[in-house]
Amino acid sequence: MSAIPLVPRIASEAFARRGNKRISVAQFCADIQALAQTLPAGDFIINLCQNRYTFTVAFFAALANHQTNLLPAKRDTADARTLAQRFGACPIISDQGGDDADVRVAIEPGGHGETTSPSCNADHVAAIAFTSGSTGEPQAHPKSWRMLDTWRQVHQRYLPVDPHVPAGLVATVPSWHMYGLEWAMLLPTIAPLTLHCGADFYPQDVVRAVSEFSQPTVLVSTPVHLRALRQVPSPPSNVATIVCATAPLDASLTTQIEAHFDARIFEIYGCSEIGSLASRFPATNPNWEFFDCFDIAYNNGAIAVSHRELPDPVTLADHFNRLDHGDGHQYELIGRTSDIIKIGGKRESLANLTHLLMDVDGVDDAVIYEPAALHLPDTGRLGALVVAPGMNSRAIRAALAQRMDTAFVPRPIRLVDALPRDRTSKLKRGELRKLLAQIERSDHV
Amino acid sequence: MARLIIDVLNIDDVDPVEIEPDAIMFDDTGLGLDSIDALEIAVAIAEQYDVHISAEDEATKEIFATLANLTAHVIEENRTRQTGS
Repeated sequence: MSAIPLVPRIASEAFARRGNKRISVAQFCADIQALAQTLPAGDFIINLCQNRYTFTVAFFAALANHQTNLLPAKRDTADARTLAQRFGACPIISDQGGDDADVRVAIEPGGHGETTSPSCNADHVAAIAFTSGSTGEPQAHPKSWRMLDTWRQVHQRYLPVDPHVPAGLVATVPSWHMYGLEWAMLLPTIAPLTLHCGADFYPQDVVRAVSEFSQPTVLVSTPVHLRALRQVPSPPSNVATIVCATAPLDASLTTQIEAHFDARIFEIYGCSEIGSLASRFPATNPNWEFFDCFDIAYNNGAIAVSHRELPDPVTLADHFNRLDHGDGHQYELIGRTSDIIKIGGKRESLANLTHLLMDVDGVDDAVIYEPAALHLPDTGRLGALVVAPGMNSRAIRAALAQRMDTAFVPRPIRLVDALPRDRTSKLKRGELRKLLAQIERSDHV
Repeated sequence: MARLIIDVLNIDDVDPVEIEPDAIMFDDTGLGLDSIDALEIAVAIAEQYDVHISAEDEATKEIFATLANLTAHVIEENRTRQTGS
């Protein structure tokens, strides 16, 4: 059985930066080996560590032990505990004092130990990522170590950064979601990038983190964070490339961000079943190019993706137009094939959400809509119209928060006397748009 | 401050006086806000009051817990700046 090293990098290079401290690849490997010896035994581990460095060390320590990392969709201890029960009451590890975890992990700075990279069998299931499926039951997406290793090599090849020049890496996305796991955790284990391990979330944090590097820096982020970063008055000059994913960037935000940071945006398209699949430079070409490791079967707008690491082809939730482009193909993203919406990287069916709202006691009729789909200004959130005599929107919001992820709770929730349904009870988009325009007008009287 | 939060988060069906100063903002029982809301509030506070929030700061969780804490933080930051300058 073939083994693949966890960190195939030069030992003396910098792997991470934590506060003012530079952590070398050798130190990172020593930390992995030391933690691996203290992790509780068992086939599975749930890693709730919040510090980026601790999370990364713990993830690889589990691999060094040939254990499997379970990555729950929601990271509160109650949900993690439910998941743990499904996997033989496996241990939950955390670096937070207050958490109800089984093992508290702390990485001692400058610890000693074996400084060569551990390895893991290629076929070993390195991680199982869970997504909150629209059916309610979380869906499991197992990833073999060979698969993760293949993906990180592909990502390194596509990342528009000189592979021989060391660069910094600052991420605003957590490492425990697939996008962050791929681009802010696995990538620096193979490419000469130094991972910034702070809480880099608010605009000021990001500016400080990037400024701590004197070399060119890659920023791994999302449209939401990039929108917030526009307000930074004097952005650091060493952002070389901005990697963006989770939702398509619109043209005006792309232009603003590229001008503000004097950096190029490299955008990623992916799906939860596989991970990153395609990329584009949105400023120069709106079409997507799938990574060349994948086999793409195109049929009338629908795309099925195959790879030898995937047991079956995966059909994407989006429709595309295929465009011939010299020796290869590019794809224009058309839209979803279903009513699945995506907010904050989470997917849900609009019909299912409306169903949950109708289920609230006191609600007679309701609809949840996506403003952008009705050609209304995109607020990044859903909206709702509700018929519920005697109830206020606050009570409805509280009831919904108990039933769905807060990302999907509509804002605003507006109470109306009736919904403009036709004779067959259907709610046409035109009628809905008319009613919303009326409400908008009366708001401004 | 309540008005700022309502405008930023597009919850204009909530009256500013309805937001209780000591109600927990970021859980399922209060306003039910999430981390993206925190980011948007932070951006609005930076624009309006020139007060910058940092996730690195241990106190940030506490600051974002309630409207009263957030308001107190913004006032305190402004006061420190005025006396310091």
